Amino acid sequence: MKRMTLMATALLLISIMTLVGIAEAQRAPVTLRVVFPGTSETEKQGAVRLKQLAESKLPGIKIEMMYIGWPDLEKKLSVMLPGGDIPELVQQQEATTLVAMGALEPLDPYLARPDSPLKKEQFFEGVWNYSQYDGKMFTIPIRAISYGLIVREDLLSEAGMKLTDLKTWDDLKRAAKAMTKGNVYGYGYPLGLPRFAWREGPYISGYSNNFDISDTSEATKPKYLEMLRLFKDLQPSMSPTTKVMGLREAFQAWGLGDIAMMPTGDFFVANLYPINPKILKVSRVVAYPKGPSATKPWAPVANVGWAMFKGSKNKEEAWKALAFFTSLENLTEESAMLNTPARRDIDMAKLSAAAAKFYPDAVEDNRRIINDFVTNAHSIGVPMRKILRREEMEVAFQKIMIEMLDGKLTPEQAYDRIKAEIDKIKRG
Amino acid sequence: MSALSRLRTTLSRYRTPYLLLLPSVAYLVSFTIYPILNVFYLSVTDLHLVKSLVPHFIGLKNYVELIRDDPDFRRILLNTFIWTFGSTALQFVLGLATGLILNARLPARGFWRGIMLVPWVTPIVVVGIIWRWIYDGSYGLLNYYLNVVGLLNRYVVWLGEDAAVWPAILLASLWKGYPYMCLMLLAGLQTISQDVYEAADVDGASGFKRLWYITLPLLKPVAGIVTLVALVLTWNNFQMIWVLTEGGPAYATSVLATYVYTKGFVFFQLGSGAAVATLSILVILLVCIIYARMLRLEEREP
Repeated sequence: MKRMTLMATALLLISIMTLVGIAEAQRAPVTLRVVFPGTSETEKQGAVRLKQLAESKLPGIKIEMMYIGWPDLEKKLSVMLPGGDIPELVQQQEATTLVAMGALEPLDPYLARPDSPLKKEQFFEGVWNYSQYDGKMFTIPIRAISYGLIVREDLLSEAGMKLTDLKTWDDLKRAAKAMTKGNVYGYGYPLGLPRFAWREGPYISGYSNNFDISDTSEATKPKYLEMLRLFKDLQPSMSPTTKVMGLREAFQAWGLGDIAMMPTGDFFVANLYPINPKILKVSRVVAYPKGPSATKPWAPVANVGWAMFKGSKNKEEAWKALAFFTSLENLTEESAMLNTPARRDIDMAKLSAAAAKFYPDAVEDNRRIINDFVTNAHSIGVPMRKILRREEMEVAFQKIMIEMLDGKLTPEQAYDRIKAEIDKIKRG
Repeated sequence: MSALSRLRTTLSRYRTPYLLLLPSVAYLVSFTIYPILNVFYLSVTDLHLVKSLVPHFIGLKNYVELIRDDPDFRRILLNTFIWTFGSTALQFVLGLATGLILNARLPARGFWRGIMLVPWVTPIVVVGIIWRWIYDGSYGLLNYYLNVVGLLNRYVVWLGEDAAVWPAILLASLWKGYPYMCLMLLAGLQTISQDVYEAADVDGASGFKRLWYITLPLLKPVAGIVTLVALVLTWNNFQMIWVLTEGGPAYATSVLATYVYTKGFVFFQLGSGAAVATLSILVILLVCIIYARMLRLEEREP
């Protein structure tokens, strides 16, 4: 009898604890894992801010922010996704690889819901369209990214030139040569890491010569050779550390006053400000000068957006968070930290006021630089081409550019090698 | 007695030891044997995350392509040998020299022994970042001091110039790795009886002769094992090279460990990356077998 009572009591206790556990589990907030890539301290602060803001605005949702450098983003995801370790949301610049892997959730059904807070009309058309892959929306844009040439106006002036003189590649070479003095190098090219060896150089130059460097067709050959010769000609104006310079090192060199011109994107201020805000006063943005085969300069424009993983187990909560991340409420302040806004309904006065919080020692300089980038994007911007297996092309391209700049290859030989490697990757 | 009943008897007799062994065996199977077998399986498939998430069997195609068609692979294999043997040899020489000094009767010997371990206990990523700054082509300390003392009259991009990059990486690896060698060799040195040295003194042996004819031969068993361990650890050491150069410029300092990462997690070619990993395992296994045989042969010699 005693044993029976004991067993019944034990069973009752277990049942009560199980029921309490289930009730608690239902009440517990849903944790969303969010991958937030960035390269600057400002972006890191942005991740912390977004987590706190989202958790305060979205009851029942907890955010686990996974902050990671842009160059490592796809590498990390390529380990996580096949292993079934799938986060909910990720910020993407170009989602081609993840779309090809089938890792992302198409967002059109969510956008089509009557209660969806997001509408196409709220965004700049070109920036919105950049989020489409084969006609489907895979990311909701938060920022536009445009590229241009950053110039030290003071050094250019000392060299007897003005910003408006930088119209052609010949002007670019002349300015780079004239500004190379002592420890200052006229032209910065972060050749040390494949991603930047491709983008912060030939890719941007290529656009200004009216072609895309992943296009190795016969039609682009003359333009390609002109671009390679440009880099060979610019080489005496580049730092000897070019071969080991990543984007971070290039920004550090800019902050120390060692580089006079460099092609880069509108994340420039966010990266430079923590290093040396004073140098922003003499930093100006112009369109990358046009090449011999172009009638006018072109600036590639892309976007950064939030995407949802197809394998997410909390899609409804993830959509709520995504809608908040891309809302006017969040983006007015977030766009002030980085790049240029993707939403057309953002109040620019509020945005400028918010920017003053992040860049108190360079309020005007930040506004001027961002305005320069926005002007570029609106006047000469073209959508950046989406390139499948770009990562492989970048590594091959970097290797050949190093050999060419080391004098082991002529531009003609470099072109043949680049064409062979890129064609092989496209075929493979 | 049938085999089955023999097995049953053995199992019942040794049930407790087998049960105690079970967790370790399960761990080993789950986290060592299964991953190795899976890597081998992936290496004979065409798994490429961008193309298809379903692997298809392609036989030895990945291996053939690596060995026959990939010029980078040959260079990377050579780099791996330079990195492994260069690093281990330098660490052995400096570790032995330091071990001999620290084995002598020094004032504050415990303090010196402790301080020698600092590089070894410092996290490898921190060591890599420090050395990157030391080698910096514009503001590095090495360039600064070599120019101050007049040994250089320009700033060298240590991690970017063909002739400088490997010596620079090996020096950083030497600094990080020699304390381990030193510690192990010091332990070996302390097992050598003082009687042997006293007998040598009576015979009038000089310092060098004592080292050559007594210390080194008696240290050989310890040195053999320590060197073997160091070879394997260095062969698989990914972090130091990744932090210093990320295997670049281009593939100039890539080794098999970094190439596996590049193939698998940068290019998403998991099949081809697994083939590199399998070849890496096979080559280091071969190196170990040859080395162990050489050690055993020397032990057998009268």
